Amino acid sequence: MKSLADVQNALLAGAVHFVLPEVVLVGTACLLFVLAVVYPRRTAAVGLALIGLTWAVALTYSVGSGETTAFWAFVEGTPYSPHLLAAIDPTGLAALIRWLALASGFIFVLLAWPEIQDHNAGEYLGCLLVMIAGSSLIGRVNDLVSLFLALEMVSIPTYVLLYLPLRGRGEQEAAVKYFLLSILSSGVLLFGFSYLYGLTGTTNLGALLAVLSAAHQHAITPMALIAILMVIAAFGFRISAVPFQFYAPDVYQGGPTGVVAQIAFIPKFIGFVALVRVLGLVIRPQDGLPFEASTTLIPLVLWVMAIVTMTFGNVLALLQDDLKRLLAYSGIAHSGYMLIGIVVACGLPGNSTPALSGVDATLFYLIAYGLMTVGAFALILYWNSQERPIRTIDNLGGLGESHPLSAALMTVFLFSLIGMPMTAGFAGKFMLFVSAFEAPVEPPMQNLYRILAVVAAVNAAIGAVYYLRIVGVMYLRDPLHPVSSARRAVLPLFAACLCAIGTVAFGVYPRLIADSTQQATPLVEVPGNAAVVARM
Amino acid sequence: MTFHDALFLILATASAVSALGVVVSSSIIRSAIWLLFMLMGVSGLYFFLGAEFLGAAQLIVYVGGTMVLVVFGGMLTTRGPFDHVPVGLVGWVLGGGLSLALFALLVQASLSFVSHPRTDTALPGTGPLGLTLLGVPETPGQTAYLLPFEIVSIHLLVVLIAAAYLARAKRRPTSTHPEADHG
Repeated sequence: MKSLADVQNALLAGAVHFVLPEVVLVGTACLLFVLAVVYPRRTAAVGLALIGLTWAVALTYSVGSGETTAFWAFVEGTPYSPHLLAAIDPTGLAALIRWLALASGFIFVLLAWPEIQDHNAGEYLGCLLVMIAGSSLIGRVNDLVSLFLALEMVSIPTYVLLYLPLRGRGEQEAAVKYFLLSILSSGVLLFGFSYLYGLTGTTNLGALLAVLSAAHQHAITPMALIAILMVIAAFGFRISAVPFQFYAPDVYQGGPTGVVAQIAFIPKFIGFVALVRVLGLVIRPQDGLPFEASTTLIPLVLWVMAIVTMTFGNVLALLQDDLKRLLAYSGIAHSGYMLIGIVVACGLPGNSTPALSGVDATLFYLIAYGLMTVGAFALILYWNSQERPIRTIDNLGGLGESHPLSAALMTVFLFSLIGMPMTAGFAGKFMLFVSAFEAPVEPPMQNLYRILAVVAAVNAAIGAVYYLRIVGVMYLRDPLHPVSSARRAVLPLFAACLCAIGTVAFGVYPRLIADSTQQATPLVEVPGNAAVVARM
Repeated sequence: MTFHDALFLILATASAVSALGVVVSSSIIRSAIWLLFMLMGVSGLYFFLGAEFLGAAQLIVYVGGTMVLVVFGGMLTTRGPFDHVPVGLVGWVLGGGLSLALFALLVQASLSFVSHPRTDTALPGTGPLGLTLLGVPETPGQTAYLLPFEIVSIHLLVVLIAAAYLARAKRRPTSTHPEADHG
């Protein structure tokens, strides 16, 4: 039989095979940085970035489910659980997150086209690829150190991207604001992580959660509560949940539109994935969740956060005239909806098997949110021009006549953001509300969940007001300043078409991705091994 | 009181007083200097606890590197109104109240936390630490940090590119490429 050290060494050596597409992405990014010096051309950089992404997709496709098989093969015939030992864990969420990251990578390269110039194309796309590699890694890291570094792999390039297409004071302010608040949140995150490490003596996430759960059977450690609150606060910044949302409107308004589309999706996406990992919702420890509803107030904190976030976002979005600010507040509101799934998953009792576990609903909504929000930003980018910048909602007047195709696409995205049937937004909201309403929990919590679902439904109605206002301006009002019909980049329009096709397809037939989100978040407990944990 | 206790008291008091100095002082440069003494005090505590590597790293990285950067940055950028940052009464009350609450919470949590002293008293020196970093765990149960180590190098690369770009941007205005704006 293999000894513990053998298993560990095998897992260490094998970890390289679990991150090959990410290695390809980072390698392409390095090539792009070099290319930017020797041959600074936009077309060459975009071509190279697309080749890198395609290569990563091909690798991901060829690996298939082989990763998971290989992962379990390492521990075959031994009593050890790989989730308590490995730093990279390709099971569960990992594959879905990687596909999502790569798909968003293609869309963002298309969106980058109008905003990059020959002299900054290489740097811009290189940073973008590092970001994509980082967000793909978040789905599979199982270690606090790697998790933090993967999160920073997304944050650091974002600072550069916000600064690269530097044009005015507004953009500088946005970059500095995002930078300062982001490093503050990273600091808080590290503070929390250091406590978690100090309490458990291990950086392995699976082992750490198993130790915490076992310890919390007897008594709750206040240190662990403080630590997890700090971690939630830091992720709250990334998903722009109240009260960590201050930066969002200013950054969205000031930043370059293509980069803002990235900020609207990627940090939220990785923030939620990292949150479900750290709360133990993916790798469920044997002794139950470390921060259960029956013993700690953490699910209640998330409950309050969800309600305040969605209400705050929707009410303030009503007051906005600036299009990008409006989308910022709408993004805050949608984070509130997505938190519902996390709250539900935190409160589920150990051996329950509901139809929706909460996390899968959140993942579905994340995909739907990404499609519709990034699509909306793509259209803003498409309409925007030097002579006729698109800033306020009034700028969109008359688009229904002058640009029928793009206005129709925008209407699809806005209807999806409202949650109209036949769109992905509806399917996502439906899954979230059902998961909250049908959660198999005891009465006091059950009532809280029902209140949550009702508040979310009221919020969805408030949201309809400001989204419909945009539709009304596009179709019913005469143009104040006609959007220029100069020759414009078609790539953002192409990206918007792709997003719209996704929005409608996943709305009409949600099973297309609902099946994979459910497979990615199985409710089974990972068999823990107390002997291994105790030794660490 | 043993020699150990006295030494600990001196180091802890020095760190705490300097930490207060960082907050109380309204001049940025003075704050930075107080921070220097605070970091030195903390590294002294690490040495005192026997964590030599951590203490040395603290001295080299924070006291030696980061602090010099902070002081230089402060000297280069603080002009006129930003030299002194006076804090209003509201700031004192709000900030002070919040930090006092956090402090009380942390003290309460640390006091309620029962620590189990390690059975193996030997702390790893730099040799084993370096081996772990490069992927050769000494004992079962340890994690190796080769992959994170590589990720850090990617961070440094991106930061270097950003720094180079910031420095270059001033010499090459964007207006030299007007034709590349919309194509």
